[in-house]
Amino acid sequence: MDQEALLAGKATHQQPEKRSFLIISSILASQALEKLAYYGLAPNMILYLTGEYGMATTEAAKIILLWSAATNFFPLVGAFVADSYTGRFPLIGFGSSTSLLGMLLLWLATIIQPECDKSTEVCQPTTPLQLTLLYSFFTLTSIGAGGVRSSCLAFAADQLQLNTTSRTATSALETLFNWYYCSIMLAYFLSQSFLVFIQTKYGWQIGFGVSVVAMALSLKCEPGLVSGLLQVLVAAFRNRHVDLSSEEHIISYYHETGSSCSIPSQKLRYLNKACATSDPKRDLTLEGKSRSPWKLCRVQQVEDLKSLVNVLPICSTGIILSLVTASQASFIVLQASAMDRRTFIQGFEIPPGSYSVFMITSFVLFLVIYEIVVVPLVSWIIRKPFRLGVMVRMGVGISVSVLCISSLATVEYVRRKRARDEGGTMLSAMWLSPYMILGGISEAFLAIAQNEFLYSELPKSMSSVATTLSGLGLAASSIVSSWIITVVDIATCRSWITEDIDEGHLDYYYWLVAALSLLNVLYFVWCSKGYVSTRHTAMAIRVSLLLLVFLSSAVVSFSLYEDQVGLMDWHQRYIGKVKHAVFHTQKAGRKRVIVSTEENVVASLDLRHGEMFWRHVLGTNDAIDGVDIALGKYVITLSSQGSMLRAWNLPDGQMVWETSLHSAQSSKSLLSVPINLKVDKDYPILAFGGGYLHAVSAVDGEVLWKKDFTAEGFEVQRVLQPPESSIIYVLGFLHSSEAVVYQIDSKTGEVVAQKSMVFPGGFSGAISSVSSDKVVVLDSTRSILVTIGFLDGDINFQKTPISDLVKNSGNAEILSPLLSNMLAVKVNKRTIFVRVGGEGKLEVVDSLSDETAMSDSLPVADDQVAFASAHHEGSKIHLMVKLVDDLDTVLLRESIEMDQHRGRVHKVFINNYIKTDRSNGFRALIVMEDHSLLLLQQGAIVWSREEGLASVTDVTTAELPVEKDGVSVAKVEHTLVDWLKGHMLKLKGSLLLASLEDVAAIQEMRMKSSGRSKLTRDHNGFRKLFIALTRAGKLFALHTGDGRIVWSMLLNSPTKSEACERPSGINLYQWQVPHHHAMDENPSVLVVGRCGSDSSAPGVLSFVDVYTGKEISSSDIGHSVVRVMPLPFTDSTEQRLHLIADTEGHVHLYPKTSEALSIFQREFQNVYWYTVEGDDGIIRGHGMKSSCAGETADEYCFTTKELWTVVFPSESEKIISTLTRKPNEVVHTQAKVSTDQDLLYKYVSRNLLFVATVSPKGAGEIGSVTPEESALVVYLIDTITGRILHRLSHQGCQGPVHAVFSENWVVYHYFNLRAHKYEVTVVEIYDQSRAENKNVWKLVLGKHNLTAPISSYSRPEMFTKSQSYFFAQSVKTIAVTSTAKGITSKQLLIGTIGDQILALDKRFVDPRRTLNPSQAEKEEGIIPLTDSLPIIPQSYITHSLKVEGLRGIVTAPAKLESTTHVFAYGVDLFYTRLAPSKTYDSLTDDFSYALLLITIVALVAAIYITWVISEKKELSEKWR
Amino acid sequence: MVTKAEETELNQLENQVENGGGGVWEYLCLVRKLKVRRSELVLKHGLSILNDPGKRSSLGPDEWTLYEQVAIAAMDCQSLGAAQNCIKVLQKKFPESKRVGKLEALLLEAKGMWEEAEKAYSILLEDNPLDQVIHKRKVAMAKAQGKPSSAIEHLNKYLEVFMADHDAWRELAEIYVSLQMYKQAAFCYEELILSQPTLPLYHLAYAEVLYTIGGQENLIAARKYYASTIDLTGGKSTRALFGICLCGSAIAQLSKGRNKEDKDMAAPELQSLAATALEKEYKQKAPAKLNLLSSALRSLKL
Repeated sequence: MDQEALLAGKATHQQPEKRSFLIISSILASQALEKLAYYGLAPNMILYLTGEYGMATTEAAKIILLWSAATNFFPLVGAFVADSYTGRFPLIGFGSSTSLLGMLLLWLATIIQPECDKSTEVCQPTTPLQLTLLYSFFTLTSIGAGGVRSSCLAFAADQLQLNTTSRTATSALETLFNWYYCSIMLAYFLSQSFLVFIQTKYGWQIGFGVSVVAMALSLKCEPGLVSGLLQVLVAAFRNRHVDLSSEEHIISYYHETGSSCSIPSQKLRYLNKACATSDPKRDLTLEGKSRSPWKLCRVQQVEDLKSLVNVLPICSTGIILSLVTASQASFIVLQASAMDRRTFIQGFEIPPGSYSVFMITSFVLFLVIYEIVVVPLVSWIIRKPFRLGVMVRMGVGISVSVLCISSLATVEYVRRKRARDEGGTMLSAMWLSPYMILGGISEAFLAIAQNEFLYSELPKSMSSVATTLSGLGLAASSIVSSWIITVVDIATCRSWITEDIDEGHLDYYYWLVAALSLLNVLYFVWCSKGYVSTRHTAMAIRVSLLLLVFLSSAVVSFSLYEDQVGLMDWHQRYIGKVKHAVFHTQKAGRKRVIVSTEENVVASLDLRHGEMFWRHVLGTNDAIDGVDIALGKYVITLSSQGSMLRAWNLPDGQMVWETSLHSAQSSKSLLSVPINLKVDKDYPILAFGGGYLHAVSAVDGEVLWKKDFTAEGFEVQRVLQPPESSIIYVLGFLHSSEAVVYQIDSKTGEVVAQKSMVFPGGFSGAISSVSSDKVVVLDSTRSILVTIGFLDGDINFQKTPISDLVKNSGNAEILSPLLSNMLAVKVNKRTIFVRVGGEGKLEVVDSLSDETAMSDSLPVADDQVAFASAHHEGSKIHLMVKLVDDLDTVLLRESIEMDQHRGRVHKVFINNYIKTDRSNGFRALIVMEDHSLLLLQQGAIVWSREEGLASVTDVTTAELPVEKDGVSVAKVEHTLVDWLKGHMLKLKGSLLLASLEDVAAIQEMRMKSSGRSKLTRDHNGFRKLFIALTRAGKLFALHTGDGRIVWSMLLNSPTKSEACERPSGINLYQWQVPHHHAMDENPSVLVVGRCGSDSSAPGVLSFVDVYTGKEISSSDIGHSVVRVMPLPFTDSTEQRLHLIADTEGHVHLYPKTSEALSIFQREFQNVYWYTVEGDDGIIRGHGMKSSCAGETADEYCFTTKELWTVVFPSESEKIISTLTRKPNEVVHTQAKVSTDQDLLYKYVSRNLLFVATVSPKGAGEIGSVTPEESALVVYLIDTITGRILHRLSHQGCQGPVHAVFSENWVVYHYFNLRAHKYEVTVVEIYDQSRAENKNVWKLVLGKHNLTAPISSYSRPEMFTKSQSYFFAQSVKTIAVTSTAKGITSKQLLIGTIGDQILALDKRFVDPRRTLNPSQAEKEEGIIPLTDSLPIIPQSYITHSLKVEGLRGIVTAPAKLESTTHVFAYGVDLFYTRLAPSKTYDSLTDDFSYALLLITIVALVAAIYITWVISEKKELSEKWR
Repeated sequence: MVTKAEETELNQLENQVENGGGGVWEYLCLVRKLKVRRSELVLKHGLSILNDPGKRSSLGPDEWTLYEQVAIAAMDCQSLGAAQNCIKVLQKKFPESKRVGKLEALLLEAKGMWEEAEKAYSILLEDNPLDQVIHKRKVAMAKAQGKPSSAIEHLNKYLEVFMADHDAWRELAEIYVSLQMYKQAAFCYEELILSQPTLPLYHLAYAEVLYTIGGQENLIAARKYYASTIDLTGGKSTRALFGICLCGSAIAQLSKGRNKEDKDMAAPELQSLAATALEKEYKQKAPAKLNLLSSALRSLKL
C-alpha cells in the first residue's frame, strides 16, 4: 500500500491539546474521502476512456499509468514545498480545492463526452475541448493529491507531537498511524466495492467541502529536509577542492553542538566534503552556525543523504513488484469484464473494477493469519522463536510476485484460448483470484518489510522520507509500466495489446512482466548482498533463491536470531597490563587514551566506553619502552630497547612510518617528544637507545641526526629542553659515576658544550627530574640523595643523606612518578615527598603509606601542577588529586567501592577536563593488581576491562551444575498458558504495541530461550566453564556459551594477610570432579602457587570451588614445588590424590588425609616419576622409597630413590623439548585394522616421554648454524625403566621443536636447514608382541584378550613407522583434539605464526601414506603421499579472526562424542567447538526442523493418498 | 468342499447370530467364503447391517460385497424388492460395472423376465465372451424354463470352450440321463472318469448308465466299473455290490443256453462273493433286513 505522508520526526510545534482531536479526525476524514474519490475513479477509468472516448487500450493504459504516477509522485513535491516553504496546512487547503476543481471538470467532461454508438463502438472524434477537460482533470487531481497526501498525516501528527520524547505522545502516534491506515483501508475498500458498484462518482465533493471547513488554523515553516539533502549535493560539489585524505587533524567537521555524530563516516567519502571546513573562522558565524548552508552543511545532513543513497537499491526492487500488483489494475479490469463474473447470488455480478478488493482482502487476511497463526504455530513446532527477517520477507515478497504474475499470465492464456476456440463460454472470473491472493501476499510481505527496513536503516530525521519512498516506488512503477507498454506496443507492432483483448496477446505481456520479476529477484539478491549492514541478508538470498528454484507458493522458511547465527565461537580482544598511558582529549571528537602494555600492545581506547578503537600487537621481543603523541595526530612508540621507532595514525591506528634506529649495545632506552621544538617545519623526536641518540622527524620518520655515545659508554638519563631554546640538554651517566651534560643543537645534532663531573660514590641509576635544570638521583649506597644542577652547562652536586630527612632510614628508592619540583622516595615502607628548593635544598613535605600509587604530575590551570594518588582503605579506593606546590590543596577527593578481587592499585594515570562551571574535573585511569584497567570519573567506575585475561598461564575445564527441578531457566513455554502469554507478548512487540516493560520481558525471554548461555549443564556437554589462571594470580571462569566471566577470584586479595605476600600461580589441577556418589559436592580446582620467583621458594596451595568461585581453603605447604603429579586415584569424596615433589627429592601427598594415605600406600610400589634437568642433559627416573625421616617430616612425606638416568652427551646434544601424553586422554581402539585384514596394535602407554635434543650449536635461532653443524635427535623413553624405545635423528635440522603426543603417535615440527623449510614428522609406535593375534574376528567378537597385563619391565617388542613432510608455516603451538571416547578421528590444531589456528586432519600425517595407494588403501582413507602438508584456507578454525599473541591451545571433550571444545589463549581469547568428523551424532543447529516436519507430513499425506487411491483402484478392479 | 471344522464353526456362528449374539459380519463372511446356501439368514442379517449406516460404513469397501451377497440371497428368497434396492445402490456406485450388470440380469431372471435376461446376458457376453458364469446362467435359465434341449445346446457350446469343467460335464450327463439319452450320458461320464479317474461316484454312475443301456457287452463293462467302484471305495459301496449282483444275474440270463465260454462271462464266483459281502454287511448293520436280502438274492437265482 502506498504511504504518502511526510512524518517529520522533528515537528515540535506547540498546539493546544483540546483542538487536536477535532482537527485530527477531520484531517483523517478528508484524507479518507480523497482516497475514496481517487480509488473510486481509478479502476473504471480505463473502461470510461475506452468505452466513452473510444481510445485505444494502450493509449488509455498509458494515460492512466501516467496519471497514477503523477498522483504518487506529486506528494513528494508537495512534501518538499510544505516542509520548505508554505507549511502544511495551506498545502492541504490548496490540494483539496485543486482536487475538487479536477473532479468538477471530470463531471463536466462526462456531460459533453463524445457521442458513441454502443452497438457498433464507433465514436465521434473527440474535440480538443473534451480532451482538454479530461487532461486537466488528470493534472488537477494529481496536483491536488500531492497537496493533500503529502501533508495530511504529518499535519495530524504535528497536532499530536506535543513533546517528541514523551511516551504518551509516541503511543498516541502509533494509534494515529493505526487509525490512519484503518481509514485508508476503509476508503479503499469502499471505493473498490461500493462506489464502483453503484457507479456514483459524484458524491465526494461534499466530503471535500466538509474537510475544507473542518480544518483549524495552524501554520508553520521550517527549513525542510529535502532541501537539506540538496544542499549537501551542492555543497559537496562546491567544496570539491577540499582534500580529505591529508591533514585530517586540521580539517574539522561542522556539526551542531550536542549532536550525536560529529565525524562523518568513511563510506561515500566524497560527500564528506560538504561538511568539511578547513577554516572554521571563515565559514562559521559567531554562534557556530554555518554562514551558507549551500556551502557548508551539517554532518547530520551528510549522513542522512548517505543512508538514503544506501537504501535506494533495495528500495528500487519494490518497483517491479508494484508493477506486478498495482499497475496491472487496468488490464485486470479489461480481463475481468471479458470473463464470467456471476456469483452464487442470483443476478449479482461483481463489477470488473471491484476485483482488486480480493487483493486487499488477501493482504489483510494474510497479515492477520501470519501474525496470529503462522508465527506462533511455527515457533511452537520448532520450539524456537520464529520470525522472518526484514530481508527475508522482502525476498519472499519479491519471489512470490513471480508466481503471482505467472498465474495471471496462465489464466489469461486459458481465457483467451477458450474465448477464441469456443466462442461463447467464458471462464469464471474467479480464476483471477490466485493472482489476487498471491499479489496480496507478496504486497503484504514487501510493503511491511520495506517500511520496516527503511525506518530502521534511515536515521530518525529521515522518517518522513521513509514513508514517501515506497510511494515513490509506486510512482516509479507506474512510469516504468507505461514505458514498458509503449515499448511493447512498438516492438510488437500493436499485436499484443489491442482494443479487444481476445485479439491481442495480453498473456505474452504478462509473461514479459514475469520475466522482469524474475530478473528483479536476482537484482534483489545482488542488492541485498551488497547491503552489508543487514544481518539477515544471507538468509534472504538463500530464501529468494530457494523460492526461485521451487517456485512454490507455500512459503515455509525461517530466519534465525543473530545470536544463533553467531553459532558457537567467540573471540575476546584484550591488551594486557597497561604500562604507559597517554590521553588525547583536547581536540573535539572522540576522547581517547593511548596505552602500551606489558603484552607489547599499543592500543587506542575510547575513554567513554573503554572500547578499543584500534590495537597493534608487536612481536614478543618487541617490548614497548615509550609511547607518546606527536603533532597531535601520530602515536609514537619506541620499542625493542630503543631500536624501533614507529608512528601510528591516531584516529585509525594505521602505521604512518617506521624507522629502525641504529643500535650497538643494549642499554636503557628513552623516548622524548618535545612539545614545542620546531626545526625547519619539522618536529624532531628524540630517542635514545643502544648508545645512540637519534633525532627523528615526526612527519616522515627520517633520522635528522644521530649522536654516537657508544664509545664513551654514556647512558642518557634525561633529555631536557628549556622552553624557547633550540639547545637541548642531554643528561647522562658515564660508568654510573660521572655525570655528563651535553648541550646539543637540536637543528644539527652538534654538541655545543659538554660538561662532566665525577661523583665519587657512584649512582644507583634511578633518577627523578624535578625541573628543567635539576635532577635528583640516589647514590650507589641508596642512602644519599644527590641533586644535580646543570644550569647553563655547569654541573653541581648537592648531597642530602636520607637520614636527614627521615629517621631510621634504610635503603631508599626513587619512585617513578614525575612531579615538578618534587620527588617521591620510598623509604621504610613509606612514601615520602621531598620538595626540591631553589638551591637544591630538600625538605620532606608529606609522607604516605606504602600502598599508595601515584600518577605523574599534570599541569592544570594557572601554571599549577597536580598529581593523583590512590590508596586502599578497606574495600574502598581513595583517589586524591593534589596540587604539587601545595599538598594541602586537594582538588579532588573521591572514594570508590572496589571489588575485593581486583587487588591493590598498581598504577594511576590522570587526565583533566574543564567542567561546565569552569572548574577542573579529573578522570583517572587505574591499573589494578589483577591487571584490570578501570576509568574512574566523578566517583564512579565508568568502565573496566579485565586485562588479566591477556596473560593466561594455565587453563582447565569444569562442568557446570546439573539442572535441577525448580531452577530451570527454560521454564517459560512449559505450559500452554505460558506459551500463549509469551506469544501474545511477541505479537504485541511485532505490532509495536508493547510497552517498555513488555519489551524488557521479551528481551528476557529471548535471552532465556537461547540456551547456549545458561548456567547449567546440558545434555551434549556444550556448556562448560573454562577456568583460566592469569599471570596476575587471578582465576577466571569463562562460560563456553558466550565467553562471559562467570566469576573471577584473585588468589591473594588484599583482605588476607598471610606469610606469603605475593604468590604467583603456577598451575591449575582438577582437584575434585564429583560424579556418581559425590554429586552433592561442588567440584573444585587446585591452584599451585609459589611464594617467590625462585624455584626453591615455598609453595602455596589454594582450593577453589568451581561453581561459586570462592576459595575453600588455602595453605602454605612449607616446601618447594618442583613437580605436581596428579595420581589416577581418588578418595571417597572424589578428591584426586596429588604428589608434589620438592627440591630435596622428597614427595608429599595431598590431600593430607589418612584415607588418601591408605590408598597411596596400596599403590606405593607402583608410583614412579621422572625429572628432566634440561641444562645438564639428564633425565632421571625416581621411585618411592620410604617415609621421610627427620623432625619436620610428617607421615605424608616420602623419600624417593633414583631408578635410572639417561645422560645425553653435553657436547653433542641439548634437550630442547620434552612431552608426554595428556594423562586424561582416552584411547578407544587399541588396534588398527587395515584393509587387508592386517592388525596393527597401538603401543599405548602412559609412561612414554618424548624428548628432542639438538646439538648445542643449533640451539640458537634458525639459520645461525650451517646444516652440517646441527642435528636434531628425538627419543621416546619409557619413564618407568628409562629404556629408550626409539631414536630418530634428523641431520641438518634444528629447533624450536613443537610437538604433540597423543595415543601412540607423536607429531613434531622443526626446521630443516638443508631444505630451508619447516618440516613435520610423525612417529607412530606399534606393539609387535601381540602381532600374532591377527584374527580380526576374534577382536570383533571380543574373544581376543586385550586386557592382558602389560608391564614396562617386560621387554617391549615394538616397531615404529614415521614419515616427514614439509610444512609451509612456522608454528607457535600444536594441540590435538580430544573427544569423550576417542572414537572420533583426530585433528591437529596448529597455532600458526599469523596467530591463527589451523585444523589439520590426522590423516595427513599418517606414516602409512604412500605415493600410489592401492584401491584398498584408498578405501581406507589413506591420502596419496605428498611432500608437503596442505594448508587449506577453509580449515582455519579461527576464520578471519586472529588470536593475537597466541600462546596455547586447550582442547576438552564435550559429552557428545563428535565434538570437542577448543580454547586458544594469548593476548586474545578464542573459543570454538569443533567436530573433526562432522557432527555425525547430532543434528546441527541449523537443521531444518520445519523441513523435516514438512517432509514427514508430506510423506504421511502421500502414504494416505496412495492408500486411498489404491483402495479405490482395487475396489473398482473388483467391480469391473 | 466344506470341511468338518468349517462346518462346526459355521453352525456355531449361525447359532450365535440367530440368538442375537453378534458376529453377523463374520458369519456372512464365512457363508460367502464357504459358498453355502443360507439365503434367508443372509438376507435377514445382511439387511440389518445394510440398514444401519454406522455399521455399513464401518465395513469400508466390503460394503459393496455385502450388497451383492444380500442381493443374491434376496433373489434366492424371492424378495425381489430388497434385491432391487441393493442392486440399485451398486448400480449407482459402479455405473459401468459388469459385475453389477450380471446382478441386474440375475434380477431379471428372478423376476421371470426371461427374454430380457437373455438379452442382458448376450450383451454381457459380447463384452466378455469367455465369462463362464454367464454361460452357466444361460444353461440354468434354460433348465428353469424347462427347455432341456436348449440347456444341452448351451452346455455343449460351453464345453467346447471349457472342456475341463467337470461340473458342466456332470450336469450335461444328468440332463442326458433325464432325457434318457443314455449313450450321450455315457460319453459324458467317460469324460468325467477321464478327468477324475479316482472319483468312485463317476464310475458308479457310468456303470449304472451302462447297465441301463443293457446288452451283454455293456453289462460286462458295467460290472467292471461296479467292481472298480468297489475297489476305489474299499468295498464300502453297497450300491456297487448290488450292481454286481444284478449285472451277474443279467449276464447269466443273457448267456443262458450259450456255450461254455459265454457262461464263463457270467463269473458266478464274483456274484456270489458280492452276495456274501452284502449279507455280511447286512448282518452287521441291519440284521432285521437280512431275510429280505436273502430272499432278494435268491430271486436273482443265487
